[in-house]
Amino acid sequence: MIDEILNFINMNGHSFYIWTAYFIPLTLIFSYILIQRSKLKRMKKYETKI
Amino acid sequence: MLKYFHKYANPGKFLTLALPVRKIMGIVSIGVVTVGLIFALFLSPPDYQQKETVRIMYIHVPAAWMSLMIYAFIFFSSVVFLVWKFPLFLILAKESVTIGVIFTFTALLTGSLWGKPTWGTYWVWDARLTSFLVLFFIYLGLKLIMDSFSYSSKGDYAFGYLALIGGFNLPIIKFSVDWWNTLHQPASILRTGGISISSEMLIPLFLMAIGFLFLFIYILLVSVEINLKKRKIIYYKNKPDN
Amino acid sequence: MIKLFFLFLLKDFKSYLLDSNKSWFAISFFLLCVLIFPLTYGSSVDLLKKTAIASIWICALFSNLISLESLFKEDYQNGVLLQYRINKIPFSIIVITKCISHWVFTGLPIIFFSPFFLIFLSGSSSDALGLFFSLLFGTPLFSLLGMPIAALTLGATARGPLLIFLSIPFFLPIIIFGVLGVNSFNSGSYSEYYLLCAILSISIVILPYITIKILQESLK
Repeated sequence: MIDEILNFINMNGHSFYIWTAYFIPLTLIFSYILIQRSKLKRMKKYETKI
Repeated sequence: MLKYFHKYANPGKFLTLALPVRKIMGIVSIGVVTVGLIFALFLSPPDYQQKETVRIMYIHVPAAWMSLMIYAFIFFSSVVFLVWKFPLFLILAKESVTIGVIFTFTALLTGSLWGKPTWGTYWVWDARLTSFLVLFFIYLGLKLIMDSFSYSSKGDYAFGYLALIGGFNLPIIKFSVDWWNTLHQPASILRTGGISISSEMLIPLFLMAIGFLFLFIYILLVSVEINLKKRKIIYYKNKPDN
Repeated sequence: MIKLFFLFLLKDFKSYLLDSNKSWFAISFFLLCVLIFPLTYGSSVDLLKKTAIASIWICALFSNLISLESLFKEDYQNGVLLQYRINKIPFSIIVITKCISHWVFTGLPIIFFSPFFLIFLSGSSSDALGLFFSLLFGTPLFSLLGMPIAALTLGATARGPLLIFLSIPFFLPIIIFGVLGVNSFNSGSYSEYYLLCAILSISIVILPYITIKILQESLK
């Protein structure tokens, strides 16, 4: 079981390329979503104040 | 058709339409991207030539499609803004620039990470890669020109015209693999003579593409709402009787 | 109309000739830029020989970028452009004469001096004709493409850096085809030259029109 998981993570020796290619873009996109969502919440709060 | 177009080009009406769409898109896009990631990383088979590195394709190709599509969107909404002067289309175009930068960066980064194990180098100066880098710099230029005017109305038109001139790059990117001998492989999905890719690889590819498209719509609608709310707040704060 | 055109052309030429700053700036900057390449390569003549054409193209690009800033700036800041608009002088004349005078005082000297610079950079003299023709098709494109971008950035807070950042991506294809064209000139293939000519003929039609629109918008 553990061997299988390790094998999967290793990806035939190409682990670095594949995991960075998935990790960096997805973090960028989702962090941008989170930033925009928090901005929207702030705006809504401000709008109700006025 | 044109009647509805005129009706919903009004920012207030647009928001009433956009709110449910945004909520649906938020949930659906996350779901589709998750399923797509599961297919891409676990369920799809490794390629017989490229082995496991083919998995990078499922994020590289949709990101590249998205960055081209977002530029086309910016181009057409700037044309609509410049011709008919709908302010909503300017806001739509302006808010999609940041997302375009992110997707273009993604396509470039994953492309170079894919190039190392398959071609042996991170970067080659061939036609497709160079034209895509030019697209990245045009996006950055659009991002820069938005905030570099002290009067916003002048910046609006500068933005629109720059997006218009930058549109020359799109056909170059699309056809660069056909016009020049490039290391980058030619289009294998959107081409005459059918798809040249197995269906097992097609499923994650299209799931990721649709997921990215929905994500783009979701972020765009959130950003447009922020922009409109900001304008509203500034308007109410500057009202003389307030 | 044609009388007005020649009047404006004469006026632009005069303003370039009277202001020695303007007319000599581009070519002297080009000379200075060319000087950098032999100095940075140390004493390796081999490297210099290989990169002679590329360095001349780079210098042509830089001198064009530098002189682009003054294209509409003075007229815009003095309010002369506004006066033209009030007096109903067609902007097509202004834009076309500006473009021609800009090319005559920045592109043309570079084209004519390029064979000398090629020898100066110890490049092979058989490339001189190819370089001459590639610059002949390339430098008008620099002026034409720079025109709408110079008009776009009128009134921006930090104009110089913005102008350079925006125009380099648009100049890249011209440089690529120009340098490739010189390299394949001696082997008898002129495809890059045809491509440059095609881009030039499209640009002559479209870009002045866009520039007119932008200028009219910037004066509102």
